[in-house]
Amino acid sequence: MGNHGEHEAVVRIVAGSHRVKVVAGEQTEVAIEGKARVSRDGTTTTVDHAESRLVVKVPEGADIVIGVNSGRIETVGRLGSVALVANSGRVTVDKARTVDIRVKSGAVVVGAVEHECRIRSNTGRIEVGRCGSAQVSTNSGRIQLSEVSGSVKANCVSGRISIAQIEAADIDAETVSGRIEIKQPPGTRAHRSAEMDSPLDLPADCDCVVRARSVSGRVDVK
Amino acid sequence: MMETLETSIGAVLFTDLVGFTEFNDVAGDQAAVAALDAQLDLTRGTLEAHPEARVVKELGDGLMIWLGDARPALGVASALLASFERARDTGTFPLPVRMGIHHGEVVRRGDDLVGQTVNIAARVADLAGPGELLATEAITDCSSPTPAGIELLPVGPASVKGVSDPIWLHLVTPL
Repeated sequence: MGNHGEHEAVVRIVAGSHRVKVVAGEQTEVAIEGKARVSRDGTTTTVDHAESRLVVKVPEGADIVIGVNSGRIETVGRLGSVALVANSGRVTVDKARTVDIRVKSGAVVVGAVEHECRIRSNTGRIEVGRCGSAQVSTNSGRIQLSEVSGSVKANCVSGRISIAQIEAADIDAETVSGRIEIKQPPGTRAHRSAEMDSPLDLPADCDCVVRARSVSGRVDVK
Repeated sequence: MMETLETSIGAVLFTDLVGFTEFNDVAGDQAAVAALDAQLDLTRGTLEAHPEARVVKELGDGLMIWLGDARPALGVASALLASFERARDTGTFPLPVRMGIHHGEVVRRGDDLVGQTVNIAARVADLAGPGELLATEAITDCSSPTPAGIELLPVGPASVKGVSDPIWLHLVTPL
């Protein structure tokens, strides 16, 4: 998890079943509110053995790794890379450079991600505001990507997928029983395909490839 | 007198067809059985070159696979995932597969394998997305240096039922 010249802080949080709030701000040190053990090794701070609700204040742009059994997780302010695993609970991320979020049960709501956004939820909706490329999946729940500027891979078993791109790029969207809605920028010359075509088979004037498949749901590409 | 358990140390891999139940519902039993057969065929085809590896059993829409020696295990698992993805790209395999792999001691019970290593591998697979392979730190440590052709991306600490300490996970991606 490199920081690309930003703040080098890495914060690892293991919080059991407690609510966690991470606040990114102008401070240069990591500080916590709540009962937990804090240890430091170089630029890495580890917060674990939490005994209560935690508020962790970190430098803006810090990389965060969070593991929670159950409980709500919220980040405020701009973070670097966010890697998060939770068994259950709602996850809200304000702003980050990249995210990798895995939740067994719970909604995931992300404001803005500059680069790659990877989200996996077994049960729960996924909403992302602005992001670069996206790789998102949920078994049951809606997927909504509001402003995507990169390629998209979205997979949903029984839920609706809504994707709105602000720059043309490849899309691979798939549901078993949900509806798929894709909006691309005006003038986009998309090549629609059910299968993966060889790049040599693509029309010379296409901007991107859209693969949208639903076994029993409707597919709308605009 | 307690019976002495027959144990082995090695890598256990779980696969799971994402959305199988819903697929069965809308595509019918014949298509569902064909998907299960295709999963098994692709797996056996990939494992052929690895004598120690075997499919332990089918579990509904997934497979439990013994890979044995940890060093080649990540590469074999990654190759298996790639074979599923290739089949999907050509339209010959209908559903994405997710996978989880862990390393540790297993107890042999006839042809079956049981124990905490098996339980953890199954739960790790639950956290993988469609088309993803997640690996625990136990196996990535044993496989160090990372096998050629794959990259390990840190995912984070997962709380696993029945395990007191969090288990650190990596996403295994082809380079």
